[in-house]
Amino acid sequence: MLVARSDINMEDLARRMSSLEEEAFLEFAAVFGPRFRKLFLNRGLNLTDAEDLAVSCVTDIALKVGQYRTTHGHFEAWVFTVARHYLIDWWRRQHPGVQLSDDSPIVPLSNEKLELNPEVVSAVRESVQRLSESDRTIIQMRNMEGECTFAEVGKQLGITAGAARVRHLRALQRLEELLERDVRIDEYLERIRVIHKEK
Amino acid sequence: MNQDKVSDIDNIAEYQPPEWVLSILTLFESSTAENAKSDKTPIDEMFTKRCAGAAELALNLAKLRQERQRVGFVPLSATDYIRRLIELVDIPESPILSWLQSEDFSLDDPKSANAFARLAQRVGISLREALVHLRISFAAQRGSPVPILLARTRSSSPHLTPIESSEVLLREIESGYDVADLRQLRAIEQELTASYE
Repeated sequence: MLVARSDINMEDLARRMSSLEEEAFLEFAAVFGPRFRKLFLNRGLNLTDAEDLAVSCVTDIALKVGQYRTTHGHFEAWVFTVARHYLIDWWRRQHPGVQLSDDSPIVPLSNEKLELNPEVVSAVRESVQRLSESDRTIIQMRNMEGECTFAEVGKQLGITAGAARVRHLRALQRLEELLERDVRIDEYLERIRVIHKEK
Repeated sequence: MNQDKVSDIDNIAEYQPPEWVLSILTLFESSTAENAKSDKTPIDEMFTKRCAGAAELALNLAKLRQERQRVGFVPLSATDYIRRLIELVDIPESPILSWLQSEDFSLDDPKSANAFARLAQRVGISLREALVHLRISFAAQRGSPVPILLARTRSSSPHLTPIESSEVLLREIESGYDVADLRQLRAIEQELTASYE
């Protein structure tokens, strides 16, 4: 059994998998299996569902490797885009007839091909820290740790779901202002502009 | 004061957070989750083994798909076609069957149609081909000497592709089915079609 290595070259892994190298498939499982599991747990799935879906993703995404092109961005980002699609499909199967809304615990994500460099990660962390405690709590509950519903955020803060929605928008607006003033995210914003132009 | 609050709420309700703010938070969370967040549910060895098994299954299915691309459509029953591919690739059958939660690769009832569709799609078998494999299985189970009849059809209509000549023959065979058989066949066909994603 292979253990995930931190120095793995993802593009090379994709190439080796396309050539049907057995060791590459096992490396893929060792690297991504636990990460899929974590992603699904973080998105609110219970342990059994998160593990079952993670295992299915290992098989199905590994089988789709031939569809990956470097023009899709980085291999890792492509893998997670596909994994998130699986999560959305899973969610739809569990909740037939229910539309995904901005209050659903699982929402489609965009700009998947962007990855944050350590400077941007620090900038985001510091900006969030500079928010008031209640703003920080709302953003953490809603956008970061749990992707809670507004009803859950409201319950935690002792306010209505509607008030939680308003406070959430306000917190995001403050965060936007803080981030915009931070030069460390300039490169990230530039990459977004390039992606939008490509679209 | 109250009026200020109301107008503040009105203003904020019109605020649309830019997509980049939402994305940066999501990416931040993914970037930091693995390093900073302590995992409350540690990974056990069983999960690691399941992932490795899933990867081996993916590899075997990828090999099957590669072989299937080389071989193309062959007018055989569903079971025979899959078994022959597996033999050609020389991979174990049992992990594929346990993944399908099936005892064999047969396609003789609506329940097995779902399992077959799962496998067929991953191996690159089109719905049209899968339906023909199903109909060949069904005809063979009812005693039709499909290969011989097919050879006759092909010699009389050499311009047809193997799948087209199979469809011509199967239509002919099926015209002799009784209502119960036809209904059963349509039910499996319907399930197979619905199972294709």
